[in-house]
Amino acid sequence: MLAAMALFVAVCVAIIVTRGRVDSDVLNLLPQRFDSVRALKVYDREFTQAREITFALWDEAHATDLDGFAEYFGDALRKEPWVVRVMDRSPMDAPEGTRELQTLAIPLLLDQSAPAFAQTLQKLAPEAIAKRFAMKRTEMEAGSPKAEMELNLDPLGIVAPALTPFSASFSAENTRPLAAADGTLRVVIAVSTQTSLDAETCRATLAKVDDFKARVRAGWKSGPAPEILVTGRTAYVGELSDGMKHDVLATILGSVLLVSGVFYVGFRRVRPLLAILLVLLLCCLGAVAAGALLFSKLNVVTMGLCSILVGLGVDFGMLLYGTYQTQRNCGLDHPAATTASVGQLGRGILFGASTTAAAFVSLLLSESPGFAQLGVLIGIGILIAAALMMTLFFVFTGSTHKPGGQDLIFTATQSYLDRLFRAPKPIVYGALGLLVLLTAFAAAPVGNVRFDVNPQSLEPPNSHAGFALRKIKEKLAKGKAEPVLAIIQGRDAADFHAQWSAFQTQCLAAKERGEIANISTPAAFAFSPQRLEENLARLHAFDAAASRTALKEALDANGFDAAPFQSAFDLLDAFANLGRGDRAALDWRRTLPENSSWRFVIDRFLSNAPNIGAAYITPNQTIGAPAEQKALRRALDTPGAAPLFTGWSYVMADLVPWSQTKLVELSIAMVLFNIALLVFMYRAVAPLAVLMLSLGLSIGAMIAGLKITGLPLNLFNVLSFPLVLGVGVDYGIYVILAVRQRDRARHAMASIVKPVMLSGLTTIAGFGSLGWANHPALSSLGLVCALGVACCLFSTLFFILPAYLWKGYR
Amino acid sequence: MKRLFCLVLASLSLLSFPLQAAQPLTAPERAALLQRLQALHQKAPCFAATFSEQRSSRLLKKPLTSTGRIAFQIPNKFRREMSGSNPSLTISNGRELWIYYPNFKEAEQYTLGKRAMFDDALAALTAGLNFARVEEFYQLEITPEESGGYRIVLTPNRSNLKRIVAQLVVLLDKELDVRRTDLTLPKGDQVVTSYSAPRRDAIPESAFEFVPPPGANINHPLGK
Repeated sequence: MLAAMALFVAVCVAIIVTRGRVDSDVLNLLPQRFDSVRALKVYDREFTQAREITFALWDEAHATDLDGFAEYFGDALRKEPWVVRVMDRSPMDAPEGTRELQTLAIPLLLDQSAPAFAQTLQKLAPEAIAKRFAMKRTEMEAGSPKAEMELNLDPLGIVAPALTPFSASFSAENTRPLAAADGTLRVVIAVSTQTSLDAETCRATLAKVDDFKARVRAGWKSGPAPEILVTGRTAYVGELSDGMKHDVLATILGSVLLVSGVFYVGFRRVRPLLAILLVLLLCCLGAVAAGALLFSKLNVVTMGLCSILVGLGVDFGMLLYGTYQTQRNCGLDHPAATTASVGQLGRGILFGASTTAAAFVSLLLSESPGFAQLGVLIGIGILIAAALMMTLFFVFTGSTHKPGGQDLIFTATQSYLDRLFRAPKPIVYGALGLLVLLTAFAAAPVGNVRFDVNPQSLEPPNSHAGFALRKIKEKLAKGKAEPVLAIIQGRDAADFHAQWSAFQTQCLAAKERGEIANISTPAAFAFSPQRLEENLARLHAFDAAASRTALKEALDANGFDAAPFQSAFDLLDAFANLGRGDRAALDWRRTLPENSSWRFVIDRFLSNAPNIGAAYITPNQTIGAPAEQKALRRALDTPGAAPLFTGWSYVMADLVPWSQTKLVELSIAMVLFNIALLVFMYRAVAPLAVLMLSLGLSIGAMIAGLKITGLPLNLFNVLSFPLVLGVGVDYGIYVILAVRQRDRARHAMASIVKPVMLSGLTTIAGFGSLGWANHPALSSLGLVCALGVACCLFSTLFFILPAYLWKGYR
Repeated sequence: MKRLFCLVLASLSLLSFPLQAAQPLTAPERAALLQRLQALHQKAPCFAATFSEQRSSRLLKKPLTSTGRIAFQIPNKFRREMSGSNPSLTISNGRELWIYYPNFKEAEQYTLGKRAMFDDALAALTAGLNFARVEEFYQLEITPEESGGYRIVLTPNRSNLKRIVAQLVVLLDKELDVRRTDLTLPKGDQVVTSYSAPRRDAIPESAFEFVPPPGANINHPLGK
């Protein structure tokens, strides 16, 4: 037996070590059938912007020169070896911003319409260059700031017209403000060298960020340093994965301690407790190993697996041990007592395990991959637990029996049973009255169950990254609606261009009609391959060398220094290369330096993969309901373009109805399953009706509890309703089995009521221990389930049990 | 835009330093002086002079020189007439700024209050140079000169101003009229302006208003 166990443990550990991977991505908890969720994943996966680290320098008290600190901070950040580029000011103000603008303009120039490109080439004719520089010299002599601006930004006078569609599509200043109007917050954005968003990498990057923060604050000598807040995907993942370690330890330790405490108080025995824990350990190992085999990655909510399994699985052990102890107290020896207790409860345990497993497996219907995983694994774990508790458990308990001393719980239970057998009716009425009252309160329009539709409900409480993000929004986008992203994936460059051209036209028209507040699209960057080819063909005939000579002579003739005009020479050289067929200048990702601030602008709109772009739509109000989603989609419906809309508020508008529908669907499925199973077991309508009434009232009491405690429902903990239905029904099953012990009902009751009560408490403890988890999906699910199970336990002990005794149900 | 800002800065600096103190200034002395200056500005808010300017630009091999007349009225109205073969007229009434080039029949219009960077800097400048909060925006270094005048060096201490101006030096004669301003820009460009024939007569409001001549082409380099 021990060898088989050792082998089982070794195999499970080997599977977990070799195949166990953790997925901390909250997006993987969401149902994947929604376009909005899929689009958000595309955005997360393909866009560099999703990997940016955003720093917020916050000085509410105006205690320091925040602009000066931002400059110092940005300069220091650029020197960090783990940083690729930094944006702490508009790209135009960056040291090489103006020069890089010429690089950025080259593909835009080549994407001009035929007449516009012809004008561009005319401006590059030698005589046009000579005339322009003579004019600019005269204008400068007259003191024209405009002439000087033009010579700085666009010496040849061809870049500004090419940038017109660029500025029409978006402006960095409008779409990414870097400073709060009240001067209390500055934003600095960085791209790090990290290539993956897995938990380990994010944690490592965050460690570097923390180290940098400490150094940069210590190095600031011009007054108090502002607060440095950090947000972005890396910060969130790092924080969540740090929390995962805590969650696993806290929830498992919490549940083991609570469950052990309840068991010890109830039975005052150590060896059976250790036996139960050993069996539960095997169950958990088996379930996790099964998860590692079945799924490529274990999602973040499966961290709750062990706590829930401990809380549920211990029930079987406790019920069996309680009955076993009663049998031993009646004089049976170990084998006989074991056989008797398994005989008395085996069927009930199998039914109970089946309903509980079914409840969890029903999460497969939730469409949430994370919860589906959790459900399947707990389903497997529960069945393993039921099997091992009826077989292996008694091997470990040993055969020695010590008659216990005074057992206060047993005495209290006996006393309660005495009263029940004497006069069950008042207890039935009392409990029924209370449950009906609570259910009425749940249904009444008094108070309300809070349904948290805020994306914040998906992040851990006291999340630093979340606080930073909200502070940035509060300071930079106060009063503005949450943006909606429109992601377009083109089949090829031509399709990408066609879709964006059409979509931008539609968006601008919608803006004109007042249907949206603002729009920033990458349409200017979605080049027409046909136009590029036509303009490249025109460049073959262009004499770049003559223009270059003319430029040099014009500068000399008008007293200009050649060095500040190097970008103009570079532009002419690029045209010469393009004319010769070298197309390198058309690819920004090759021509723009890695540390260029302009890359932030491009990365915001274009993905790393070809022909995927994102537009940012500011609706008139934050999208909060499917009707608003529909209105937006209708306003932006574009023949020939297939944008996928997303963004957190937009996704939530999809998910809230989904979760509410799932609540109803899964609950109905669970109730039907319970009825089907229990009809087979009860073979009588009345007791089944009592059980179902009890379950219904328990759910009512649970909702009342949510109203009273203010515990909010969210996308995930609504799934607790079917779980409570599946778990809560078990106690009724054990009770009916005890009642059916015809001649020994009182004896059977005595041996079962105490374990039922204790197992209810351990289940509450198991779920309740999830409340210690940082992850909101897990903690809120645990707390709501604990509340629901508590209601079921109450109704079992004070309504079902006395009702059965009163009516003499078998 | 920076060039435009510097033009305004150099012009306003004329109003800012008709200092009357003759001793090296301690902080209390400076505070007292600021109060006296505000009183002086209330009494004589206008100033006019002729100027000669030498502008070194990194774009040009040699500096540009120009001459003309300049007139101001506290807090933010001014008029600058450049003479010579390429004349120009710059006028601001505090709300908008016009630059007109008669040779090209072209006018540039800049509406103040619409560009955050420009306006913030301008607000800081005017607030500072109204002497109520000058040290909040600039470090001041005032050195007495043998001639009886002063050399005042203003170095911006806020980074948004530092991006526009590196340093402004104002030289006052013994009558505390501005003799010269020396403006250094962040990229090294320099504008040195000498003033002569100062007057503090009242200037009609119409001098600070501009109506483009018929047929003039109007540009908005920073947008409308």
